[in-house]
Amino acid sequence: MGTSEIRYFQVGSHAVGNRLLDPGQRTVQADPDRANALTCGHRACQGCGEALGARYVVDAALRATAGRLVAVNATGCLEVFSTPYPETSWQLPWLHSLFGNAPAVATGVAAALRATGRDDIRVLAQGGDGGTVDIGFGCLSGMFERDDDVLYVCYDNEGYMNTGVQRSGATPPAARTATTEAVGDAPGNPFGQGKDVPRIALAHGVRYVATATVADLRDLENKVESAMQVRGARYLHVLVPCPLGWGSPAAMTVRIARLATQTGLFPVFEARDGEVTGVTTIRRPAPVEEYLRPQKRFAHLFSHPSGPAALARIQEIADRNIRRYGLLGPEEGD
Amino acid sequence: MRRQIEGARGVAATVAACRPQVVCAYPITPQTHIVEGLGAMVKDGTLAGCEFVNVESEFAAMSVAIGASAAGARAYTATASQGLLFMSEALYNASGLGLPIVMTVANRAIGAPINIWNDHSDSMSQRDSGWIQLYAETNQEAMDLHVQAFRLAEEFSVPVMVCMDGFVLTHAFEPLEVPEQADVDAFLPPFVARQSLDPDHPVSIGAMVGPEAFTEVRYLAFHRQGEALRRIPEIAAEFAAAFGRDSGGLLHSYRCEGARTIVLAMGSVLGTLKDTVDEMRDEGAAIGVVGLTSFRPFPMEAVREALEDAERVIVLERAFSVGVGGIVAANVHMALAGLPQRYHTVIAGLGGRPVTRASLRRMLTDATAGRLEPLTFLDLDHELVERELARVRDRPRSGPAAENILRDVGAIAARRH
Repeated sequence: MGTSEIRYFQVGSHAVGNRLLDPGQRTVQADPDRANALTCGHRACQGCGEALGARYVVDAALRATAGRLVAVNATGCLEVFSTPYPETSWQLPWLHSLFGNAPAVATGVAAALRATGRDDIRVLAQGGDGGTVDIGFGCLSGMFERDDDVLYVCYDNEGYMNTGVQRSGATPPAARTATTEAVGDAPGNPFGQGKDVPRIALAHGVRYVATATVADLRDLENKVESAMQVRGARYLHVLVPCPLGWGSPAAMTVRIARLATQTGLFPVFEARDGEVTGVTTIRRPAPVEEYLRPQKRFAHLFSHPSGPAALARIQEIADRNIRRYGLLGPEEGD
Repeated sequence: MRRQIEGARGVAATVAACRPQVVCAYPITPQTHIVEGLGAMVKDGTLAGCEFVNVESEFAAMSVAIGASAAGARAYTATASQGLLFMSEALYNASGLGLPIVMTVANRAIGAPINIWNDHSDSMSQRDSGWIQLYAETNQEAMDLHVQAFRLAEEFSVPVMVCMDGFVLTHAFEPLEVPEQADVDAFLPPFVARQSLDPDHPVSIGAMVGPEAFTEVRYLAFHRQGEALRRIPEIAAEFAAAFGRDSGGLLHSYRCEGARTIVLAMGSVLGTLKDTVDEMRDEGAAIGVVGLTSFRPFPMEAVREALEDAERVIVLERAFSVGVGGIVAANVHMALAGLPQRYHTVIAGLGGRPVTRASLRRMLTDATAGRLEPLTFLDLDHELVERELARVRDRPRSGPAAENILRDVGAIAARRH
């Protein structure tokens, strides 16, 4: 019979305990009366970043709208694990139509609410990176361009995880997936030009664009809250590690998401009307290797002869992000 | 109100009288005048309480309609041809979710080769999508069918496609009775959604369904169309009582008394067919016509009843299934199973080729003389076909077939003059 050691989870982090905060500043999740929109019992994997992100996003959106919210969901992990017949985990009106049309369906819902004089009810659309940056991209761009009153949230786990971890347009270079195997002279995903949808949203002049990760859930809640104060098209891109697809330990989901930000590979920012208005600076800079090494999808970078060159190219990507967004803060460079 | 108006504009005015709440629009010939008309009416306030959404594709158009319908709004869109195919995935989704969307299909051929003119390849390709499909013979019927379509769709929570021949109907100007707003309001009650996204009564719509219930959910779709089949004639009768004209229903028999040969067809070709049959009847030929309005649900019993006394049945259709032949014909054969009729399928009017009285008369004369093949492509230019077949035989790199034939069409035309 062992005794369980008391663990202070927040020791060593920069988080502030809710107990120390004024009730108005406490997280949505700390509220015993929170919506619990995505209830327990869903079938997500252990350590699923998407389930974590979606719970915070939808609960925050429900609080911001006093419960007057409809959700539209693209096909994908989130849809499948939350609604296996005959159960549903959703505690709000929720509609799933197809893989590639969630933004357009959300437009239709918003139009119907306006036409029937119920536009106090707001619309949240959500999908994974496949449903957003690839197959749903045309509909997303149309929704942006028309400035429809929809908050679209992309939970980016950098691949088609629901179908068995295939490459998507959001899969990073060198990552191993089922369709970019770690074999041959250049193992993993080829180095392409990438598809930076938050910046594409900025190019549409979308009223509110933000990125976030499940490493900073208070920031995620804040951004949902800010987004819901705005009418018109809005876009939130949330990095959600996938232990299954990334080959990372389930317990490391939050830490890996944090490393993505601390290396500069995933810049966290906020933008209004096409202009970046705020950046979350890096507190503890880390080389990309620190982020890549715990993930089996990048294991070949540390064993294959092409590894060092690929690592250098990935570091260049991170460094470019750091320069572009000023991720090291204003004092850097003195 | 009687107006000298283009068919497409007549449909737009009728749809507006049905008070849609969300109309999504994407341009595709020959449907475009319909959504243009609706857009103008929303913008100038004639059609109040309606959101007009210009989308970026037909796939988005149907998706917007899905969202709107699921949120409790009466939703409408129109398309044709490639557009209908581009929204195909969403068509199955709309019917699978049981959303009572009404859509006009201005029937047009499908490429390649690209062709903007009329045939029924587009809507026929979606016959299994779970939508009710009604085919209009005239512009007046096309307009009237929309009023009935909203009733039907909303009573059964099933989407309805009103199919009207592109150009032949959509672009024809003629005097048409545009239904009065008060009459439409009396005929079509406000939309009450069977299922709706409402924060006060949250439901999940579109959940994953596995083998344990999928068959039952799909069976119910079949069952609903069966119920709709019984309601279609009733709704047409109610429409006739309210508006004073016959439109819709399952099918219409024309001069079938004592007919030994009956031709079944859908859409605007029925006009030419009836004229031809009138002439031949006067000359003593025992020929009748059946105009089929409801293709989905397919009225097995009504078709059997309408055709069982004929010795010879000809199905004249503006589409076909490559590798088999007739599509409507296959359904008619099912309806006539076990009966001794002789069957003929005549494929006509593909890609806008005119179906003339002269051609129909030749075909019907051949039929009554026992010379008509079981499957005929009306007015097929065998010389053109043979030339291309010879090219393919003789040259390993014979080139693109459509372009070769176009060149031949020019050469043959020059020679004939």
